[in-house]
Amino acid sequence: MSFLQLKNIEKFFGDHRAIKGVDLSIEKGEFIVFVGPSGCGKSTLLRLIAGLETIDGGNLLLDGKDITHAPSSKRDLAMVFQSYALYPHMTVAENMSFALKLAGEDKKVIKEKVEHAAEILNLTRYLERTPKALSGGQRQRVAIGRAIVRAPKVFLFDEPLSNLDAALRVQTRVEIAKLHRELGATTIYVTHDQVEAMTMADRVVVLRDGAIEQVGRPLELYDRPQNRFVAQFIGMPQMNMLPIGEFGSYAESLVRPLPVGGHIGVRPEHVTITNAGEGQLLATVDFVESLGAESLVYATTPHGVQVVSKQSVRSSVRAGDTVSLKFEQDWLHVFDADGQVVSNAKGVAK
Amino acid sequence: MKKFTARFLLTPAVGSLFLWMIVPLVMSIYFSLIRYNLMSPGEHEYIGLMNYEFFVTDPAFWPAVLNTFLLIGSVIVITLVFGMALALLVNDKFPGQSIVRVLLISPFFVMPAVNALLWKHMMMNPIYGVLAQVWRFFGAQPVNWLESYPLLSVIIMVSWQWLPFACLIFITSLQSMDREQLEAARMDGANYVQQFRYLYLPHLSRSVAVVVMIEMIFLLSVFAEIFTTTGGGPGFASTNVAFLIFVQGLMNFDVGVASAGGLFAVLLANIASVFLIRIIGKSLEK
Ligand SMILES: Nc1ncnc2c1ncn2[C@@H]1O[C@H](COP(=O)(O)OP(=O)(O)O)[C@@H](O)[C@H]1O
Ligand SMILES: [Mg+2]
Repeated sequence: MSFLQLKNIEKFFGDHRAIKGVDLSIEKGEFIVFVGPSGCGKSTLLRLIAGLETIDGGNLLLDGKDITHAPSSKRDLAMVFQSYALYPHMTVAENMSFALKLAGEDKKVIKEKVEHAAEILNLTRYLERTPKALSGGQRQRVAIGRAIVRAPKVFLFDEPLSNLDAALRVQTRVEIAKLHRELGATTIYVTHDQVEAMTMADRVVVLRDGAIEQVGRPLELYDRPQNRFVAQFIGMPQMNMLPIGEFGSYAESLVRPLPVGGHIGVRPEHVTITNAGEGQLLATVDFVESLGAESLVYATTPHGVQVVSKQSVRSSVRAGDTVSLKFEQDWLHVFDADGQVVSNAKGVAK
Repeated sequence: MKKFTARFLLTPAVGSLFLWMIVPLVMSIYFSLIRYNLMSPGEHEYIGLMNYEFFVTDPAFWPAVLNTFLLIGSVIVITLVFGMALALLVNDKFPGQSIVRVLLISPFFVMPAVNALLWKHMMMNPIYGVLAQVWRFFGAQPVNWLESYPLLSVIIMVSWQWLPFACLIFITSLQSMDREQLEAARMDGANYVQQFRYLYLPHLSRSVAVVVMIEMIFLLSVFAEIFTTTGGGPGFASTNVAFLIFVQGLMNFDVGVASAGGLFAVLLANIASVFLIRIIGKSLEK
């Protein structure tokens, strides 16, 4: 049996069904990332697990115990909030020891644990400061320290990096991943940033409108998206999605029977720009982004669908040129009219 | 140059404020040093500090000082405790929240004299007052509030008047309380009392300082409530310094002693504010 289990979890805000029956099993030590567009219910789901919102339907099991209606303090979980939520009137040490103090832990033990956590997080020098006298990155680390000190069964993070600047974000991302490897603690991490999801997760949970779209290892989601939403949500720039009609008879050589009203998806790195006549589709170049190591060519087909091509060679095409787009046949994903996958790219298997 | 211009432009405001303050002060000092009784015309000769001596040795003096402190202290404590409790109570959402809040604030808009009359006649009258009815309902002998507990009665009236002020300040302050901090505390296992002790109270400390300071300033001069209800009595039981000054000046017609009393009140206010700023200044600095 898995460590943390969500069984058909539901949440209503008034009439609004914010979480629509989520099933998920999480193993001990896993790093799970919830990802999805803003407003899809990531935070709500995390808060349901944390016990900060009441669960309206379904069951939540942790380590074999039903905690569906347990108060959050009895769940043995620790959360790192987006705003860090440090207690402003307490020093760093007091912040980190608050939970233990309330639990009536021995003073000496508390001190040891706090010092140990401070050491891991490079906070030893700041233990006597108040949060106000710390930088954003340090506050973030205190928030993490507060969670570590409690040695909870599961760590919960809600967009912990969104208040940091870009450079610090990358650095902290690496640190959190490293910390997870060292502590081996089960972690649920919420983000809207797919790069964070792809780089940190053991498994990614893609959410949309309060329901799970797909769960899988990062590359699995990239290679075998189960529907158009996941296909386009994971990957930058996003997967090209062309109505099957665009391809004419060529599409028939790919799938049979052809899903009426379906789409063919292909990632930008599997589209090449060739001279007219060599590819499958003619298109007009809109603009070219040269990023040095690679170039992105944005082109529009006669039916008005924009296609992006990512090339690792510098491209000589210019805006306004008519080019032919060549799709690598092994890397085409086919989706039916409902957006569900019919077949994933054959290239992955190789 | 820039500094000079700034100073120059400030001069009218500062100047008029200065005059506003200095003229009455100087006049009070002058009156306090001369023999000046409205009932005995004639020379206003210089008599040194004798007016002060009269004021301080008046049998009403020490009771008045004590009553002043009792009044201020009790009202501040009552408004802090109940103000905080009420503010916390109406902080969570419930139907009709905004109406309840407006009702809570409204006693502050009642004039002190009207407030005192309301309490005197509607609530505390031993024959037809609401409290008398309540006492009778439980089979008890109604209390003659103004005679049996004159100072307590005044304290109740003034507290009722100032409770909304404290409450308002705390309500506003609670609105800036961080929700995630409370959630973090909940996850850390803090119960409501502990949340109050470790999160709400530190968060409200600034507002407590503001309430104490402002109430202190205004409560030193409580007058209307005493004048309209107990008249300072029985005896001196509900006379405070402000009321004693009134008695000297407008009932004994002794302007000199009243001025000396006024200056004593100024002194009292200054001593109190020095202590207050010492204590509270620290909490404000944070
Ligand atoms: N306390 C609440 N009351 C009412 N609606 C809420 C509440 N919290 C969240 N919602 C709604 O639930 C949905 C999911 O919100 P949230 O979980 O915060 O999204 P995310 O974190 O993925 O951006 C949104 O439509 C939001 O408006
Ligand atoms: Mg969110």
